[in-house]
Amino acid sequence: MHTAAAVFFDSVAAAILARHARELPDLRRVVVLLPNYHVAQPLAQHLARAAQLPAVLLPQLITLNDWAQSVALTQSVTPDSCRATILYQALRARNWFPDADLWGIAAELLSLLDELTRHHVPLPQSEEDFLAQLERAYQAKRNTAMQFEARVVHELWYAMNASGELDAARAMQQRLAQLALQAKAPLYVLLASDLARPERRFLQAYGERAEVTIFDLREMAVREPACAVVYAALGQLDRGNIKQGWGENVDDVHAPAMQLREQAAQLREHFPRSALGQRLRLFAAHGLEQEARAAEVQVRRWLLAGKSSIAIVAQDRLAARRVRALLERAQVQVRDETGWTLSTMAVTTVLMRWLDALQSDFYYQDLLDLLKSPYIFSDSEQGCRKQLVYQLEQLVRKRGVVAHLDTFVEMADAEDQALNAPLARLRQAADLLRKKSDTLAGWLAALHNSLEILGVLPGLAADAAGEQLLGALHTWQQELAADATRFSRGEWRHWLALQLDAETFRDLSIDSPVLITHLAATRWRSFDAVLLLGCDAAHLPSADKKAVWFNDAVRDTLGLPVAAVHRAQQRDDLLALFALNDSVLATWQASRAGEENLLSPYLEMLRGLHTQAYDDDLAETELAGMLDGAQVRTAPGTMPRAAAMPAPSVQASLVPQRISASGYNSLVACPYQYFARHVLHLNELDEVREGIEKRDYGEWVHGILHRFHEEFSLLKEHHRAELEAGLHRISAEVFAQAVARDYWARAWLLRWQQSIPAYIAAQLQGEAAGWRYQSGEVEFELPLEEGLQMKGRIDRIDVQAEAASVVKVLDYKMQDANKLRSKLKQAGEDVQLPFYAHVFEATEAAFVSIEKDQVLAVEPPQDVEQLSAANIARLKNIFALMRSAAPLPANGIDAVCGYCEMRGLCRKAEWK
Amino acid sequence: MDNRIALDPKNSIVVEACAGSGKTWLLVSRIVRLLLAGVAPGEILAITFTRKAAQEMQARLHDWLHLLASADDETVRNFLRERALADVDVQTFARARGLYRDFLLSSSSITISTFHGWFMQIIQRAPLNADVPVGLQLLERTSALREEAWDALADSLRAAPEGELAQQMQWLLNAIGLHNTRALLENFLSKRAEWWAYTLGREDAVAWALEELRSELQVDEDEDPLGALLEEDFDLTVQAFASLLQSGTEAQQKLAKSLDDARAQQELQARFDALFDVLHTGKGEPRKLKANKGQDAEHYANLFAGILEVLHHMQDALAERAALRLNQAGLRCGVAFLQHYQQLKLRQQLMDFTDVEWQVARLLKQSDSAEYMQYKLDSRYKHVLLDEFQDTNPLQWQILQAWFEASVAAEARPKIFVVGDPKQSIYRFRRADSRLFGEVSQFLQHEFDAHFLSQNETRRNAPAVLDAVNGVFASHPEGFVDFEIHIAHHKNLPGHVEVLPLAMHEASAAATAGEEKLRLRNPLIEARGEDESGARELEAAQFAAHIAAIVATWTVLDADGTQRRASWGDIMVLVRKRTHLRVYEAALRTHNIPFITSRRGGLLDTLEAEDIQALLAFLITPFADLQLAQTLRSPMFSCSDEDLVQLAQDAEEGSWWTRLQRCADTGSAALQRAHHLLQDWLQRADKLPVHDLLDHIYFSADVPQRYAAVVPEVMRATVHANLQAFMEIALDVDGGRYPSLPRFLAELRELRAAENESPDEGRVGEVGNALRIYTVHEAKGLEAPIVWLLDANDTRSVADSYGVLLDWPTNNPRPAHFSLYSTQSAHGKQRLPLFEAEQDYARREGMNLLYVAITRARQALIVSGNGKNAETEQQNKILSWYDRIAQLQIPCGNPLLQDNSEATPIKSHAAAEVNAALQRPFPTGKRSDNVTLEQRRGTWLHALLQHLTTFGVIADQVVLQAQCGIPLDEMGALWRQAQQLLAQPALQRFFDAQHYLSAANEMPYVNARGELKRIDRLVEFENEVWVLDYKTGATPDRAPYRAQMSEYRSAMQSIYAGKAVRCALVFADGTLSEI
Ligand code: SF4
Repeated sequence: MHTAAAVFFDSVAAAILARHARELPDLRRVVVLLPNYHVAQPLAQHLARAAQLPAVLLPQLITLNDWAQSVALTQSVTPDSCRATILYQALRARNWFPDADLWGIAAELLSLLDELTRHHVPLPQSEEDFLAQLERAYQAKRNTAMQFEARVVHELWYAMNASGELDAARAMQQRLAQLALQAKAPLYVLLASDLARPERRFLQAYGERAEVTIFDLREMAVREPACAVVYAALGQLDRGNIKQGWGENVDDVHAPAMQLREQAAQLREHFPRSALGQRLRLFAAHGLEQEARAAEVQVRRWLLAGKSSIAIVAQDRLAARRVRALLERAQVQVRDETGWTLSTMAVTTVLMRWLDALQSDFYYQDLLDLLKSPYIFSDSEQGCRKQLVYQLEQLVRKRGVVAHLDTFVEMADAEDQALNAPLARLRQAADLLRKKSDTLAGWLAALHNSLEILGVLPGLAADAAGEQLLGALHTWQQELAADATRFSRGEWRHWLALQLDAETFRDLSIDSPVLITHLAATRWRSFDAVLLLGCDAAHLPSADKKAVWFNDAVRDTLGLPVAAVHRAQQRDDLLALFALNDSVLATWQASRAGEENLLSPYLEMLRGLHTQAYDDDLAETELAGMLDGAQVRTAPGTMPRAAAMPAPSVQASLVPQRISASGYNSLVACPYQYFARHVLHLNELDEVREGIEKRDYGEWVHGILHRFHEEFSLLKEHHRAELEAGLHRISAEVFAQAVARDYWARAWLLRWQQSIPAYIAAQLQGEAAGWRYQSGEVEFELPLEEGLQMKGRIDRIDVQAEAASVVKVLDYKMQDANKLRSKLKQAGEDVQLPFYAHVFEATEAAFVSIEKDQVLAVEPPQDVEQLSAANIARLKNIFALMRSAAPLPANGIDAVCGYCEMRGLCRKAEWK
Repeated sequence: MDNRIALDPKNSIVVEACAGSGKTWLLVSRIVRLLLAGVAPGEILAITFTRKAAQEMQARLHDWLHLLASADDETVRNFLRERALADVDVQTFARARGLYRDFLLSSSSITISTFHGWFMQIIQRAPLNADVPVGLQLLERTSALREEAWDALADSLRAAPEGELAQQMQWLLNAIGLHNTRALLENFLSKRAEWWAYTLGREDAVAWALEELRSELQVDEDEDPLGALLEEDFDLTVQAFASLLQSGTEAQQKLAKSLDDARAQQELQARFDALFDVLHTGKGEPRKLKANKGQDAEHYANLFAGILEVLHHMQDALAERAALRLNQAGLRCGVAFLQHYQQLKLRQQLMDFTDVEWQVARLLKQSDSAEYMQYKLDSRYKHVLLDEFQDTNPLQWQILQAWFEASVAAEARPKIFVVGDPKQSIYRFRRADSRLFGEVSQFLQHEFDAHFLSQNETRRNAPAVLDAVNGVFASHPEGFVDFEIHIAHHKNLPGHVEVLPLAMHEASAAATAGEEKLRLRNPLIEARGEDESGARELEAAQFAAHIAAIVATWTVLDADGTQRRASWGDIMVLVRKRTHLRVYEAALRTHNIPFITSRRGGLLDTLEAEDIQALLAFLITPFADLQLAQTLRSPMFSCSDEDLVQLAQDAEEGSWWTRLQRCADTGSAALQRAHHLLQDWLQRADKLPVHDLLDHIYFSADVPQRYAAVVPEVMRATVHANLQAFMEIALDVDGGRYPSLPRFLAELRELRAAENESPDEGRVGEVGNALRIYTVHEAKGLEAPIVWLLDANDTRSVADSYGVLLDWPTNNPRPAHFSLYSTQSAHGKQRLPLFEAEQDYARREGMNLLYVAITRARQALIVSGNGKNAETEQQNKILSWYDRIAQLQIPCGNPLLQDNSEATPIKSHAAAEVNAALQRPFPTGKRSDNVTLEQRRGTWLHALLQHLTTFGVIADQVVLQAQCGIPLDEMGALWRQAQQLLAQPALQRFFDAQHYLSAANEMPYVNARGELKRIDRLVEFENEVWVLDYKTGATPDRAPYRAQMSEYRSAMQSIYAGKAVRCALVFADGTLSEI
């Protein structure tokens, strides 16, 4: 037992025993209300110690809630799920919020109604009186907005209460009332902060029949020297308008008017040495990672020092998650008492992705995401499922299928029958949910059945969170079985999402001395050490959720708890934590992403006073320096060497046997890129293209021009109008499919159509110069030398009308002529044209630049024959070098690297 | 400036304060004064422009309040004196002392926020029936949703390809193309608040707006603007002019011929075009046609002028028509696009910043809801402080105004304190309007009796830097009229201004070598020269080299007066736009200079982040060979090219992953390690949340350390920070709903694609000592000892060619003009003044930018540029930033350049000695073994028995089932089992109350050792006491329970001293087995 806490438990035990000495060893008549069950153990211990008997039958150690639950009621309680639908209906019927999310409003309303019930707030009979009440509380003249608010709350409050059903809040009230009525047992209450109104009422009622004793930690701690600084700094509670019945005993160190300096002086006088300095340290971190690291290292230091109960109080959930992961590196498992909402867990992902896929008619990303969930098809072997998904994905990528289950099915039929079965299951499951409307229970049943078909159930059942999810679905279905309101799929889905948001999963299967918990759960608990994580101003006190209804002033007049209560609660919890624990490290991010970030005002106050009194700002100074050295690492293998430019050489047998123009271009631009593409044969995956891209456009134009020239080989024999009409017709045909699929294809068609007149003009000009279209889209393969073939496809070949042996090779480019010119400027850097020229023994070569209403032939500035000869000679030379194992350096220039998909392989950024 | 006036809580104040004059000091001082005067924190609203500034203010306020509470009396008196409070009375002094505590612990809290933050607070208080979603979420990145809206628009067009909307779209696509159409409509979308304001209350907004525009542009659609071509007069004039030309020179005769040809054109448009072309140069300017000797010069000129006048008139009319046509199509399509966008958001209960702003404005303008929102907010502001007011936009000002008005209605007119500097207004693209400052200043002086003050003394810049500021701006260039000479507060701060010569690209000799014999480069041997390396690359090289020299040889002065060596972190590099950043970054890399770039998406584009993305992509698509190869080559595994060749060579083919599996035993050590780890990760990728997966990867592959080993020293910190930042993104995403690895990767793709999103967002990652590169916009509010202005002679501005032309007089509730424009069509005459005003304003803003840029420098300003655009600038006669500074007389000598071997080097924090045990795992805690169904049934049965024996048998089954957490399909059997057990004759005496004196379930006791124990059921009879322990197993093996039972026995014996204590196990089948 920790010394800090022992004092308090001792006095509680002593007080109880003193009152009941004659009943020993059987204290069963006595009831002790605990803030939580963790307190039972130490309390029992102290009772035993004080009693000094071989055994003591303990008092009833129970929380108020559990105690109340033990009271049986005659009427059954209407579950909240049902009340929400009733409220939803009421809202729908009134049509007050035409476009709004009624589930959200219903949820907000329900929580307000419950609060009103819980706090015994009577609403006046007449709406007018209620409005007047609001008016006074808001201190404002009434207006339509206020009237509306009053009306909504008033009307629905009475509507909901008219049914006479018993809701949970009311049930609790009845139970507490009964408990109070039957009060006999002497009652002891362990308290760390103010009671809420219902509890206070209960204790008062109880106290009229039996004895009630309250142990208020705040009063007890105030008298402890060890707590002096803490109470001096924070103890002066401005409880504001919340009245507190249990007399405050404030001694003069805590006088409100006292100023920091005087207070510090007095403290120093009374307590020359700071007790707090031993107990509390503050660590200012730069950013999340440092905070998490500091926390993690500190926890391990404590473990090493033999501490056997360590609490991480997670004010900041993200940081806590990070800390947990870091601890797991050191094989420190953590018990998490806080838990996660189901909606953030993978088990609900499979469910929602399934609904997403339905909604989007199996948009491929939703579909693949769904199928990659380990929970689907969990009735079959996992490797098998994965294999099928990958097969499907490859097919989808190859075929570019974007959506529609039917399309996937057709594709599978045609190409991969192994996929038929899983797709059939999807369809079967989808059919179950293809209805316009149903009751919530009906939807849930359909969902359950669809999950069954998809083999999701066994997967979920094998997982603790999954099991809870299934249980919850099941419970809702049962609760709502009688409800006949019908909802659309969208409404239901929204409802489901809200439900999943409200459900928390806690993994309690881990048993560990280290646990994560929240501040409120530390009441009256003591640990060997406590790490307060995320103590910045934004997280401590944490902001409570602002309710939609009313404001603080109104809530206060009505008798509902206000923000100040919430804050006071946290401050009390913090005080209690400092009182009960003698080893605390609080961490916060003093800066994040370069922005300053304030410390929690409570801690700042504490630090201010402590600095003033003891010249010690409580800063933790050791940790920062040890973070780097205190990392747990996996057994480090040999460390890699510093990066350098790669220049692999290739065995002769692996040197490619064929080369294309683009391959040669790549070889020239960067030999390493060529190596990756053509020796390693690495390619980017096909991507499903959802919109039309420029390369589609290029392909279509190529197709159009090929068809056009096949149809009209000599343009000058036709009328201009006929040519244009012809080209338009072909264009429309080629684009037809795309236009049907995607509206924006029209834009590309229009863009091309704008080039048509210029194209025809340019072509006629070419004809005038004697050039004749000979063939287009010609595939070729040509041996260049022993073991090397040239291959590829050329866009077009022209010959001279007079001399068919005079050849010109052409390549269409949807690019601006200037760009093409600069490509050709430096000889040998773009090899496409010389490459073709060699294959077709051409003496001329050109790019045809097609851009808007300009069509221009762009020719290399060098003599084509020479250029081509030089290029071929170089090609042979390079291949000879490659075969003799010459290294292939990664020497692309930046302009090339910017678009190079191999930059992750050559790793230029690391060595450049 | 008189602080007595400025800080007096009784005054409303407008301060125009120059850069570096301590606006934050002033504002926070004012807050302190307010608090001292007894204003509650909750009554104060302070609005700043960025979250960072808000945080700084908060921090400063806390520091000062702490000082007031803790410092000695003299210091406190000084502090107050500096804030114009001399000789305070005892009470005030005591107040000052107590502020710290009051402020920290008060439940009424001050609001220091950005406009956006504050608007969010307000909107959440909107009336319930105000059409604002309950529980709305703020949409920060809009690009994905805009993309979706665009697709939705396409779908609706496809559904009705002949509909009116589709026709308008077709027109747009034809006229300006897809790309520009998108740009135009996106720009419309981003000006939607103005559009709504403009058309507020109009039933058919588009029709109304078009009608307005039609009358503004004076377009009469019934009239053909080319009609005049048909008029006889005109034709005669042309004819006359032609015949006059006919009599002249050969050139004139040619013209005459062309004129006649033009006149002969049948089609009017063609005729107009032909006539126009003949008489104008290619640039559209009238030809300089002079009369010949012998021609009647006056007649000639009259004829020519007459023709031109008609043509120009027509040209204008055509332009106006074209503009109207563009608006017809553009507004119609824009509104359709907008509708889709709004619908998508509504469906998901989302609002973006613009929506929030608009809704707040809309609601506050309705007096009912305005009042409601005022009193609904828990704080009532009596003091409103506005920082950086020049960056406010008209809508925001309207909101404030409405708020003030509503406060008046609520009988609480606030005091207002405005600080700003129109010279620093640079957020026009976010619709800020610096003219507002003047207006508002007037308004406040009028309505709020505000005092106007100005401040031109700066506490930031060294005199040398200020000389440059004064030199550039004293002449009030480009409408920079509000400039007054700045005065330095720190007169002795050493400073330095340096203008580097423009980097010029010399035409390389190689260019002329074309004539020589064709020599092709062998790429295996010779790398291609970065041959485009022109002036900019030169500038970049200069820049990097100079930076290296600065860090080696300069010293700077810290705020506390210590002189220390300049470090990378002291240098701030400013550019106007990010376009060419890559070039400069490349140069820095070559010189091994660590830097943080402002390039958007920078993080995700770094090699290390790409590696991780490739790895994750591989983990969900194991056939992604290239991604796998990248992962293998990355420092995670550092496989060699030979390793890759081995995989590529595998005869059996299949994906690289299957090949890697095959060589699990035969491959190199690196391959084997990769196989081993990847195998493990593939397993985990299925179920672990992304962050946990990533953490495991980092850890198990020693990722940060391996990267550190591979990359050059100077890059280590950056790479490390980037790896960390990536982890934080994952952490963030994991907090979201329905996470999965594929979704995470999809989101990263979106993030990468979305450039320029949410400019307020802070940069990810923090790096210690590194040079920082910012755009001038980003540098707002920052400062550095040394500032470098890169690329300073680039004058090209990036005006949108397709956008919204807007005229919103600052005091108007709605814009006076709203129309679309494109560069494709001429702007026409009617809108010319608006375009010109825009241009003037843009030029003025250019000066503001320069002002902001220069004033960032505390001690040194360096300016460089490159010669690329020298020619065009000459032509346009635009002075570049570079020119403006280069013109100045700059003193020689650099006081910062001194032997810095003596100066304090920047301290690095010492690594503490670490207990070696901290480096080793420390296995702690364990997961309890999976509970078998059998065990659980036991627990459930136990619970059932508990309930049944406590509350009797009549309990409701359903309730009981829920309370005990028993699954439905288990309940029946368990229920029967429990009933059977309870009905066992042998057990009757323990369960039937007639047989015993008392009984208790789950009976807790504590023994002398302080151990808390529970007895399942304790039954007390006349002479004996029974301890029953329920056992779920079927095996009646009692041995394991002996110790436990004897503990029970002895404990109970001590309590029931006079009775016999008997202990027994009760098995599920009802067997009672006494021990
Ligand atoms: S990134 Fe550049 S150096 Fe690396 S392979 Fe690609 S082209 Fe070659």
